[in-house]
Amino acid sequence: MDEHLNQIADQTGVPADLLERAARARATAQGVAVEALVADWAGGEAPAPTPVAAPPVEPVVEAPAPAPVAAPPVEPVVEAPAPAASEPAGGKQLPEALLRRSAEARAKREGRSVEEVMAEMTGGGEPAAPAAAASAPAAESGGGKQLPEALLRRSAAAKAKREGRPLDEVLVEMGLSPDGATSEAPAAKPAGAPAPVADTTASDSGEPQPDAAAVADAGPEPEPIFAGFPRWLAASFIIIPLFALLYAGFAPNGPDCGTSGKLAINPISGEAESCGGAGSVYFSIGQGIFNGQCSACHSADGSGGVGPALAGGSVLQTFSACPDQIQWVTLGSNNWPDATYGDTNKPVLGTGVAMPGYGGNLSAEQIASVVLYERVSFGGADPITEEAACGLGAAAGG
Amino acid sequence: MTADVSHDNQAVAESPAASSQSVARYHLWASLIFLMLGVGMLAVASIQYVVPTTLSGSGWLSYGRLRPAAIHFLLYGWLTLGLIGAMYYAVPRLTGERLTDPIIARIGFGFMAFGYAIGGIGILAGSSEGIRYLEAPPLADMIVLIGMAAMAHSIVRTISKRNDRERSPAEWFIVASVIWLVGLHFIGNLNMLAVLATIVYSQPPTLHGINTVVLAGFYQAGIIGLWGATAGAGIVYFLAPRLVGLTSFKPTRLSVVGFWGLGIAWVLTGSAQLTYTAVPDWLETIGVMFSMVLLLPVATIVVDVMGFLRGRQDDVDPKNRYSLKMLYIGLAVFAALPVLNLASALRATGGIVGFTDWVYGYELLAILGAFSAWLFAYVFHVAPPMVSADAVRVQRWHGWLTVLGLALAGFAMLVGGLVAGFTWAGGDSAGVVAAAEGFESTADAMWNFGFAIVRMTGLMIFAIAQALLFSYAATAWFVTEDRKNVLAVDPDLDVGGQEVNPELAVDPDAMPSWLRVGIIALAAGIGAFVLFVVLPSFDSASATPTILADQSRIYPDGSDAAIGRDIYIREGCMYCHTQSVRPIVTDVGLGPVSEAGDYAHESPVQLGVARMGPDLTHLAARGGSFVDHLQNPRVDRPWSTMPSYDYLSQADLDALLAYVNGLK
Repeated sequence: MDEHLNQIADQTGVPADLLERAARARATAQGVAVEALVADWAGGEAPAPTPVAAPPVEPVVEAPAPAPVAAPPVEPVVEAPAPAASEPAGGKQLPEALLRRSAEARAKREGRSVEEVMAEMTGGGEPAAPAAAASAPAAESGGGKQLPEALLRRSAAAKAKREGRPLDEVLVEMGLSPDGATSEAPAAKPAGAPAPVADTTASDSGEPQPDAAAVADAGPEPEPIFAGFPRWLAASFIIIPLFALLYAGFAPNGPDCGTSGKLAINPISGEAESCGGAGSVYFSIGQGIFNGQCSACHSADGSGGVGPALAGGSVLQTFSACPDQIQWVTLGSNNWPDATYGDTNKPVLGTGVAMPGYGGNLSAEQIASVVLYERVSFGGADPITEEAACGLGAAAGG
Repeated sequence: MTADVSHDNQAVAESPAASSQSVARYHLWASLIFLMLGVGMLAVASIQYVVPTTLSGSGWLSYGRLRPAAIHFLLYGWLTLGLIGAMYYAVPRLTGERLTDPIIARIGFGFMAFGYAIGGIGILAGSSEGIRYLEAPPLADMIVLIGMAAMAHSIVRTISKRNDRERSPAEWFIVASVIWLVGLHFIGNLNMLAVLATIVYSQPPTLHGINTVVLAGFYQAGIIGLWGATAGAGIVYFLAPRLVGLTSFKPTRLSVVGFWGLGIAWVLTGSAQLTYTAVPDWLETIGVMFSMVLLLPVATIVVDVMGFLRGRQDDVDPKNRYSLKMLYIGLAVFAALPVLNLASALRATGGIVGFTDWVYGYELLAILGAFSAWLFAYVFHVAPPMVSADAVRVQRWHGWLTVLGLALAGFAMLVGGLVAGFTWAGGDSAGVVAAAEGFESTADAMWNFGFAIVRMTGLMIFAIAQALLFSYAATAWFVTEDRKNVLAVDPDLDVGGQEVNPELAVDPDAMPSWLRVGIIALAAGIGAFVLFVVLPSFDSASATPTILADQSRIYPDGSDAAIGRDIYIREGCMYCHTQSVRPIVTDVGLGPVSEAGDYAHESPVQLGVARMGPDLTHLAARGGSFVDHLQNPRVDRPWSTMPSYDYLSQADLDALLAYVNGLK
């Protein structure tokens, strides 16, 4: 049998394994031995039906062959091993039974009479024009093709439906002329609406089309990078990554500086700094003094101890204005004129321990620096505005 | 395409499409049940946000447990199981091959459904692990992992058959998403191994400090992008041709670019929700860059599918019209997702929308908007009971209610978040009152209440829509005679499968495309893992504790504060409270900016998702007593929507108080 298969394969250009599969299916359907069938194809008598049926290779596809419902998927199987129809183009005569079966399926699908289809396939009649014409069976032998054009068109229709491509494109690929103005319905459904026309016609706005990909399949030319892309999308693929790189390079990666009220803490060092990147010298001075003088009672992180907590913003709640806090640190509890201090009116000796006054130990600038450190570090205030508010820096008088 | 045809036609019964019938059916039903559970719980949670005393008696229905459990059921039970069911439906039809090992597939389903169910119950019971989308207890995670492995085996092996033909984009997306799902689950739940490791070692190895947040961000971006979006796109590429009566979608350059872009870009946006927090600055920048880049593959996929469908509108079978509409809705919301994500990531806008309801709005539109719409398209396409005479009426109601509910809820969350963000940023120019009073003035505001009402209304309408769907499906189930063949097998489209087309033959000696996809998918995942998990671990700032960490944020085993922190985790406090002071105007007055080292002694770090309540980083340092607030929040803050924790035992309350009082 392999010999016969190879012979047919050579003649028709269809791979032998496909032929074998189709033959097995056909044999099962007809109830004949597969070897006999293949022999017949290769040039012998039509075999008599025997009860012996070769096991189908592809039960999925072959089994429904006799069922009328599954006409479309059967198509490709029908096409492959049908070398030449009765076209006198130098091919092999197809057995009558096969031809008839094929004609019946096609007639049912297209809603035509079997005789009409048979006539077309065997002689070259005028193409009928049913409402859902799947293909125009032009009877010319199409310039020396091995397969008659009718079958090629049918194959093209099935292929287009299977792959979801417009029929015209597939026809062009196979070297046939696309049918005229008709929008071919690749589906054989009776509800066949006009097939997608927009795909091949509405191309001016650069909509994504499978055409470009199909061109790549058919030809050796390299595909352009943005094949099938709308222009705006292709442009975005250049603009947006560029923008992303610019962002990484130049956008401020640190905290948001600008108008007052915004914090400027260096995310890497954790230290407050002005937006120009320079550290605040007063902040550092104040930090040193705080660690030396104040952390004993207020803790290094400002969480308090003997003295009240400064952290969590409470220092800003107690002293909304920097000068008030400076005055408190300068004078201390014992020199404080009132019984309460601060915006929240805290009692002066509320914790039982007196707050020392540093007016005698530290200069005004030093006290202001400590207060600045406390307000920025523990209160989260903006060092730029606080510097000015505390009377430090170039803006202040000193 | 009714059950009768599939019953009569023997070919259909033996087709590859029939081989996955039962497992696809199981997934469909399980996902619908989880959908009902999830949206019901989410609707109740949204009511609780407006009327905080709703169902607040026991811990099981407390907002902090109910909401994450609802999202768990929706993200995993509904979306994940639903997408997998759609894959089981799609893969035999795409490949023309019977499903590999359907029994293993069914076992996989059992493990996954059971694992997700007990995971959600675990969250309600108070066993949350404290990481968003990874709250399920380790036992549940292990069970799910076994199920996922079985599922991945079935699906990947089926797709890998028959290398002699070109593949539809749907197949790439499906293979990659399944591989990524398993990888994500494994990496995100590494503490499963830690549980096993405790058997061997006394101290299980875990990530510490800010790196737990980085890992969580990587996982969260991955589960949305590498799983939800990728698997969803696969189903879209499968459905689109079928809705217009075609069998396949021929690969286009657009689909190739969309596929790779999706896989590479989305997972690298993991730090998008972490703008200005204590994570490394370079990581934030990468998150922004890739959030921008993500716009491209999403647009590409939308353009590709829309272009395919646009010219074929007239080919749509009337019974598929609803599915097509749902597909379009999903695509539209999908196109908006990267824009919403970018708003969170960009520093300029992230400072405004960060820690607001915007974050939850993005989550809603991703899970219940885009991906669910695609899943609805699948559900209405495959289930014959939906296409009977009543179907049109059900579809109309379901469609309108779903869209209306999503629109209301999404609007409330996104716009509400924007308004809140701008209000907080406005603040007092001296920044002094931004902390407590500034926040409270917005919490008390009528517009805040208004947005909550709109959100609640939207989620309830959405829940009603899904109840309609579920009840219709359930009723139809009882009426259908042939229940085993409930999922449609289309004799035209399904029986033939993909023919071997000689013209599309590829070299059989070349590496199979599914393997190529798998390897590159793995490489992309590893790359993201290295970038997001390994490299930040080497950042010494995250490992070196600051003074604050050593003095305040340290939790020795067995101490009251440690027990209290565990209670904080399992009650889901992080969904409404943050512990992260950012260097922006909004946070001025909240105290010192949070640094990586502050969290060095904590695992997992409760950075917080959004601020429905104020930031707690330096709460105790601002003074005040919180005993009353925990037991009845409205005693000292009448505007509060915080649930009452009266149901905690006195010992638990004391421990929680000890933890809160330590937040200096």
